[in-house]
Amino acid sequence: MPFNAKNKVAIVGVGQSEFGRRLERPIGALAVDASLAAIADAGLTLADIDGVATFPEGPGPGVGPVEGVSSAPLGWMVESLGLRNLDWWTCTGGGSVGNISSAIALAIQALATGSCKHVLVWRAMFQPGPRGPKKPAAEQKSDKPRPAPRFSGPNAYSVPYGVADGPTYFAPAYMRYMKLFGATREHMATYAVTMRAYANKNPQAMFYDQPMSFDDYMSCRMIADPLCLYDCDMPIDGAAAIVLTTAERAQDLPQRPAYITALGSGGFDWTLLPPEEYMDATAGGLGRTLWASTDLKPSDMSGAMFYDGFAPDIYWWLEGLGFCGRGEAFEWIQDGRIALDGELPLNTFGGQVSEGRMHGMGHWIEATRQIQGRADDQPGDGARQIPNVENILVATGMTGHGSGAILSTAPR
Amino acid sequence: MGADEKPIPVATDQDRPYWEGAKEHKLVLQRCTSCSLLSAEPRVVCPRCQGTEFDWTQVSGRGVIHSYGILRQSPAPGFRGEGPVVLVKVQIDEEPTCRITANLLVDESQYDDLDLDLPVEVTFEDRGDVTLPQFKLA
Repeated sequence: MPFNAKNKVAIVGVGQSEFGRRLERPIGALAVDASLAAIADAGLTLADIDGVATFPEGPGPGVGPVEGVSSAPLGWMVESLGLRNLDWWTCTGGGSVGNISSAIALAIQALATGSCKHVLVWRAMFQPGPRGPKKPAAEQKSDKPRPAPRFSGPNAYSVPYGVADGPTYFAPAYMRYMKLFGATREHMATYAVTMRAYANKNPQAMFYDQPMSFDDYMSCRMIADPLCLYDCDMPIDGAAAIVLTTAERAQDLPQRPAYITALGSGGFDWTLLPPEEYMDATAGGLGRTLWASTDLKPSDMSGAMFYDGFAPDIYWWLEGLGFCGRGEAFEWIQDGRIALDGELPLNTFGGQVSEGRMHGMGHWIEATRQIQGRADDQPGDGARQIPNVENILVATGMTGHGSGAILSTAPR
Repeated sequence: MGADEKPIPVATDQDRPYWEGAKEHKLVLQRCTSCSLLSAEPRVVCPRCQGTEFDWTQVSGRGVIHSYGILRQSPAPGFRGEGPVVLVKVQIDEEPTCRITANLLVDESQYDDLDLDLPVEVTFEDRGDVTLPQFKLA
């Protein structure tokens, strides 16, 4: 697959809002916080932004999105930021199509073909649930049993059986992987504990102040066997943003450009496969298209940022992207291989399991920071910095489709 | 807090024979009239041959465990405080691409013995005015 945008586009700024559990500050304000931070980080102003992209999604079951309060959709953001020079925009999502990487991939193509000059991409996450002080007991839910809810269509085949969220969907997929290849929770403890150690060096992370031991992981509450609580990412309120521009314009901006040197996407070609195997197809499809777009190889990667809505996602990414063989990832991550001084430092910001759920933007931001040499705990300390960094692979999405790219310190 | 009632499926014009079959304790699946593909949930277009005509046929109700999970705290209404529930994906004997989502009705003492490819067979659970296909170890 030719990648005509290779070396033509760079990420030049990143920004994050406050992260937290059910914050008082409306989600739209958080999205603006993150966007203004990313634009300032890039050395630009709002007037420079002529392209925008996001990946929206409803805030969650039973919670109607209220623009600015529980969602930050494209039109609302353009108005709130007062953007008046918009030449290009896209909004992936709807019908479960797309993810933040597919929005970023389209932004890369738009910049490379001259559709616009500076693109802002944001993702805002809203954690459903009540804000503010607790209601008096009298206003809380009645203790009378509620009558049976009724479901038709696809939900008739899932909700009556207890399937109603991510863990109930992912548990059988992870169970099948474990049974087929002999993976155990002890193997996954390595990932969880490594992520927490990274998060302890990331002041943005929800678990910055909380270490985790092997025993902590092994004694963790089970959610949907084989998934325990620490295998699930943490839902939060917050927003994150990046700014991209052309490689040429990036030369004049303050941050070291993170060049896009490969791009790929996978998914949707799982006809008649069971959901337990969608992840293989997605990661494999991304691997096929991504590696075809570059002369770089897995062994050229200084590190990787792989989407981890659920911890076992990383097994499918590592295998589908060719870092190890099928059914080998759970052993491959052992022996310090994913630590900062290992063969492939992985999710050095703590992953979504320890930083918090930003639907992939955390991965893109950390990949950029690594390439720019500023993966710090305190400014300038390089606490999470991968030594001699050259190329970082970032892959997000997972359940049925995903996209990814390689960020590099120089054109490749 | 008292236990809520569990969710009840409602038939639509697309899948009425499935739920009517279950009511009679039969597992009845949608079948493509061109290539005979059996589907666990109703389709509009057959993904194997692109046919658009279907009928319904009773299958044996036998299959094997493709995978499973043990739901300790399903967020679905009516499951809170219920104790664990085994979620199972059953690959039916008649069609390897057809996998049915259900609960595996087993004792907690049997959890450690569960595995992929164990033979299972359909059973039925009455819930309200509807009957749900479920599975048990064969």
